Amino acid sequence: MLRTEPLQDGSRGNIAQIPESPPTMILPRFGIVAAALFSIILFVAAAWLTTGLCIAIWLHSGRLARLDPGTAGAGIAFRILVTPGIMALWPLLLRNWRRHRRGMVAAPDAEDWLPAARLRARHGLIVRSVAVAVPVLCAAAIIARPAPIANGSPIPDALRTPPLAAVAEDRAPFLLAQGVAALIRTDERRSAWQLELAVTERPGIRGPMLYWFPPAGAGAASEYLGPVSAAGVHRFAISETMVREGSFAILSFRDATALGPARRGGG
Amino acid sequence: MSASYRAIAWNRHKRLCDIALAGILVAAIGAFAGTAAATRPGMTAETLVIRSTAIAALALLHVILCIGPLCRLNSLFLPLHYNRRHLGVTMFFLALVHSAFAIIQFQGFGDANPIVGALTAYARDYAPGVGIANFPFEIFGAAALAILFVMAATSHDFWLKNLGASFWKAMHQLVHVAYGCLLVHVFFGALQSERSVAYPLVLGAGFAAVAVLHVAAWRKEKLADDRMAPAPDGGFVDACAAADLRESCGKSVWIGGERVALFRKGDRVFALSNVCRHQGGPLGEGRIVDGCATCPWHGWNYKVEDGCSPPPFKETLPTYNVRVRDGRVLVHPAPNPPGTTCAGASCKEGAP
Repeated sequence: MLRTEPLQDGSRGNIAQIPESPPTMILPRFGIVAAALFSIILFVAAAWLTTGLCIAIWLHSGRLARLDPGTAGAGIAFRILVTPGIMALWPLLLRNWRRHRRGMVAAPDAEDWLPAARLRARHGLIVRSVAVAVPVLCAAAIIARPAPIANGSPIPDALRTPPLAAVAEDRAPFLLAQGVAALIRTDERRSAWQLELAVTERPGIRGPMLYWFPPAGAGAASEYLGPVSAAGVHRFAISETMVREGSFAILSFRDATALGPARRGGG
Repeated sequence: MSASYRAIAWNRHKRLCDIALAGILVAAIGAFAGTAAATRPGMTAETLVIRSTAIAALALLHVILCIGPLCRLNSLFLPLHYNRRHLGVTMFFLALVHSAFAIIQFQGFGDANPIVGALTAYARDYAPGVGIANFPFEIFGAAALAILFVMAATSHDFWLKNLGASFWKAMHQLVHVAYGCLLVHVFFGALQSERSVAYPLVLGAGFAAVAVLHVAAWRKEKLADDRMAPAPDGGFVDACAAADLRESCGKSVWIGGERVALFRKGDRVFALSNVCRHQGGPLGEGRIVDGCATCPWHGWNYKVEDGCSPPPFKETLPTYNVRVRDGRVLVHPAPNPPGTTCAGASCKEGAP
């Protein structure tokens, strides 16, 4: 049975027991660094594109036609079409503009013709590199992928999984954490089990995930059941073993913490 | 070219191709949705969108990558090449929808930036220990999307002109890098949980098709170049027999390490660079139309006498000095500066 105890205030419900010390996990220090790095990259990319948008507006105000006479008289659809490219490659257009202002007639036609041999050599290098690297990596992905969780149930799409059709036993709901009420369902034959979480408050930790932990000393591994990142009802397929023994907990590896101890509450 | 640009240069042929493309995509996504609804009723609409757009984009990318070598092998595929740009932009938009839904589905509604969350999801220990399950496959997807965005954003003749053909072509050859990133993204992502052998087999077959076609096209071109290895004669290189040149038809020859396009106009022979200024098409496989050598890929024109595009267009190609001796066409390997007028050579014996 789930390790629970009746609420002492007489109301319906049980308290779920969260283990005193969650299993050892790899603290994602590199994850913290990676998050910081990608945040910076994202900021730089946003600044780049914003600058590009300003330059695009500036160019579209008559200067583009001086840079490229072919744009004179071009319609709004053309201007909208080339704007994303200007946002991405604005330094090159600014270079062209600077050359134009200095009176340097851009002579791409004269200087920038395409020797076929150079084109094909470059094309061949790229194709050969991809042709060698990709099969090696993809084969490694298939060979080294982990085995499916033994006796595990596939994790359903948590937000829309319907409840079991016939609920024969509806355990009294219990509070897993503040704002997270849990309910265990099964069907008439007790062949399928489902844990239903009603999340009424937005979790206060990053990347909250639901785990099941075996009893201490049982020797079995903990099992990841699914994310609990949004308010609403989440349903997870569980096994009868999880119902009979062990406990559930909501953990965040980003914050290296659990979602606080279970609290008493009404069902 | 240098006339006033239009957003999309639609013509009847392109409209028909775009309508056919839209129809095929709608039918394919509809078929996927129907199959998924029947076999996996628990699949949500968001998951359906994520998977259907991913499959459609990846399938389209395989088609796009095959078009180039197919055209080298058989000119019947040229109409596909003519519309390859539209296929590429469509593929990018499918990939964009896939990315947006995936980020919202798996990273949204939290208190972290969803894009940063997607790129650092690998750092989350969702499998015991550090292993293949923690491979940053999302980053490869993001890299591919960035490449495809730049390619889609510069898929217009405006960019060809203002970036220069060489840089533009180099940038668009990154499609192969994007393809590799996408395969890694799929194999280290979705295929870690999808255990059916069908997925890696189908993807492997697609990769093999792209690779085999590329090798076949390369081999065909190399054999043709090896056959054309001529002996130098006073600086001029023997290219071919004058009788091999048909009226108003082009012919590609290998001279001094480069492809040269020969054209016969009337009884005179002219030589231009084989590489079209537009997207590097094989000019020598085109014909003379209205007095101009016409590229078979997108119809760009160049006067055979000087390699210049007819007004108001301003593109130019290098020309080559050419002679005819004893029924043989000789070409000097050093190209003239683009736009240089070259008188050509008469195919009649004794004529200048």
